[in-house]
Amino acid sequence: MKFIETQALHAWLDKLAQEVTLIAPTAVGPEKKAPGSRNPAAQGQQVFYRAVSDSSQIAWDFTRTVISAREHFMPKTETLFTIETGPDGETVLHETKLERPRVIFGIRPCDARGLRVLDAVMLEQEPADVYYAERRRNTTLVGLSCPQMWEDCFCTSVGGAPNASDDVDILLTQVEGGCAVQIVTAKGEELATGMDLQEVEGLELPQPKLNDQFETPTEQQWLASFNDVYWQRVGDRCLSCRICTYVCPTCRCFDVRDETVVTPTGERIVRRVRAWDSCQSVNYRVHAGGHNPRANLEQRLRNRFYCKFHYVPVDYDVAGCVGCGRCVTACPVNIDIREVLQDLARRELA
Amino acid sequence: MIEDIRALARELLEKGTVECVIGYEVGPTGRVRPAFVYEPADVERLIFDARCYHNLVTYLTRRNKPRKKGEEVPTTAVLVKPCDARSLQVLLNENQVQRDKVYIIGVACPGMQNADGTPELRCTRCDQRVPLIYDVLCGEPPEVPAVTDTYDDVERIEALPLEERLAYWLGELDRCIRCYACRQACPTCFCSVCEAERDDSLWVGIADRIPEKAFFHIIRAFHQAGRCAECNACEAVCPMGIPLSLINRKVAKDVAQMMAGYRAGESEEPTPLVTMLTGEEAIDEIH
Repeated sequence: MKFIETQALHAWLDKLAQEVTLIAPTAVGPEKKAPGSRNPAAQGQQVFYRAVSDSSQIAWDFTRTVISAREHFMPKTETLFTIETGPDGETVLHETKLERPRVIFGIRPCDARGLRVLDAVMLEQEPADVYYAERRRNTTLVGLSCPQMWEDCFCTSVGGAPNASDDVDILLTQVEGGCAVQIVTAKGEELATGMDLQEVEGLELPQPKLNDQFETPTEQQWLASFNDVYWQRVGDRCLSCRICTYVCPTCRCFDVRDETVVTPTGERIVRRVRAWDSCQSVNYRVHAGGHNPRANLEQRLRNRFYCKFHYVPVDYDVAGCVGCGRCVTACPVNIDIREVLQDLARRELA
Repeated sequence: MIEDIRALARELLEKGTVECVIGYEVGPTGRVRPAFVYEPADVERLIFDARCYHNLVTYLTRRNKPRKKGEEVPTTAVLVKPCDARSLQVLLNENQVQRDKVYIIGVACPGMQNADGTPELRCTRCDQRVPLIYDVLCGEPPEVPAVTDTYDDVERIEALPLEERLAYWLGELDRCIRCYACRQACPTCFCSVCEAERDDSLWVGIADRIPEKAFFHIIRAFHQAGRCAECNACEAVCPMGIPLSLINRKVAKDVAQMMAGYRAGESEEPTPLVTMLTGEEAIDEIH
C-alpha cells in the first residue's frame, strides 16, 4: 500500500496550489451565526469547497461541505458569453475563457459519485455541454475517505461507501502519521508523480464506522405509489423552499437568461447567464400558455423523490441519490429522505 | 399542558369541527417538526415544549384556499405561541385567513430554547407569554417577565460607520443561496408570485450575485414593515445562518419609533403602513 507522510502531503499541496487551481474543503464565513439560527446546516463553522492558496487553509476534520462539489462543475451562476459593442460600432461576442487545470482535493466519495448523474446528463447525451465537459476534463479528483458515516449519512443504503474509490482519480485515507494512497486512474497516476510516496508493507486501511443500512423501495413500489395520498401528507409540512435541491450533489436543473447590463463605465452589454434552477419552485414547470402540471406543492415534492429514484435510474441507468444526507440535515421542517424511502419500502403491493 | 392539547385536538377531530390540527411532533431521528393530524387516533403524536420554535401560521394561507374550484375551504386548528398569534392577526387583518376557518389553540409560552438548552435570545426580550388571540388557551400562563426590548442588537449595527455597516451586510448577504426558505417560512410573506422571484422575474435577474440577493432581502424587509411579528422564522430556517431578523427588527424599531410604539399584530386594524383598497375608490383616486 502506498503512503504519504502528513508533512510531505502538505508540501505537495503547497506546490500544487502554485501550478493549478487547488480547490479544497475550507472554512467559510463567520463561526458565529445568527443568534436565532436553528437550521442544523448553519450551526458553527461552515465548510465549502473553495480555491485555496496553500494547505494551511484546508479543513482536514470536516464532515461534509454545506454545498456539494457540483458547484465547481455546474456553478451556481456562470456567464456563458457576453455581447458588447466594439470600437467601430460592430457587435463583438466574447466567449467565457476556460479555466486553468484544477485539482479538487478532499472530495468525499459520495460527492464524486454524484458526478455520475451530472455526467450522464451533461456529458453522455448528444450534444455534450461544452462548459461542463471542459471543467470535467480539466479537473483531477483527489478523494478523502470518510473515517465514519456522519449524522444523516446513508451512502451504504444507496450503493455507495464512505471509502469508495470508484469515482475519484486518487483516494486518500487518513492513517497514523499521514494518508494511505490509492491511485485509481491514469489521470491520478500522472498527478501522483509529484507526490513523495512510500511503499509500506502490510499497511491496513481503517474500517469506517457505518450507519444502519435500510431497504429502499422496489421499482414496483415506486410505480404503485405515484398517486398515493402519502405525498400530500409529507407535503403538508414542506415549505416549498429550495434548500434540498441546492445542497444536492445530483440535482442539475438550470435556467438560462440573457441580461442587459450597464457596466461601471456606462457601456451596455448583454450577458447570457446560466444559474441553478429548482423543481421545488412554483414556476419551474409552467408551460407556455400558463398550464402548470406541477401546480401543487405535493407534486413538486414528489418529483424530487421520483427524479432521484425512478426517472434518473430508468432514463440514464445510474443511481440518482448518493446518500450524502445534506438534504436531511438542512431541511427546516425535517423532511427526511430516509424516512420517506423506508415508508415506501414497507408498503405492501396490491 | 400537552394532555390538554391532545384532548382538545381529539375532540375537534372527532366532532368534525376541524379537518386537521397543526401542531408539533418529534420525528424518527428526534428532531421536532410541524405535525398535521387528521385522525383522532393520531393525537398522541402531538407534543409541545421549548423546542417547538416553528411558526405554524405560515401553513394557514395555503390551507385557506379551496382545493378545487367551488369546494369549501376546510377549517384548520393551529397551535400558536404569542409571536405566532401576532402574525396570525396580521393575516386576519389582511383577509388572508378567514377567522371562521381557523380554530386557534393558544399555548402559554414557556419561551423557546436553543438546541443546547439555553433560552433563545428573542425570547429573553419578549414580554408576552399568552397569545393575544385564541379560541382556547392551553397551559398555565406563566408570569410576564419584566423586560423591554431595547433593540440593542440593531443599535450596535446602526452605530457602525457606513463603510463597515455596508461591508457587514454585503458579507452576510453574500452567503445567501437564494433558496427562499426565509420567505417560505414567513407567515406574512404570502404573495403568490414574489416580486423578487428568481424565475421569470421582470425585476431581478437569475444570477447568484450580491445585487440580486440584496434586492430580495431589502424588498422583503420593506414589505414586512409594520407586519413582521418578529417570530424569527426567517432566521431560524436559513441554511446559511444569516441574521435576517436584524433587518426586520431594524424596520420594526423604526416603525415603533415613528408610530407611537406600534407593534405588528397587536390590533385588529391593518398596519397603517399598508394601503388597503376598500373597493369604493375611483380609479382616478388611486392614481
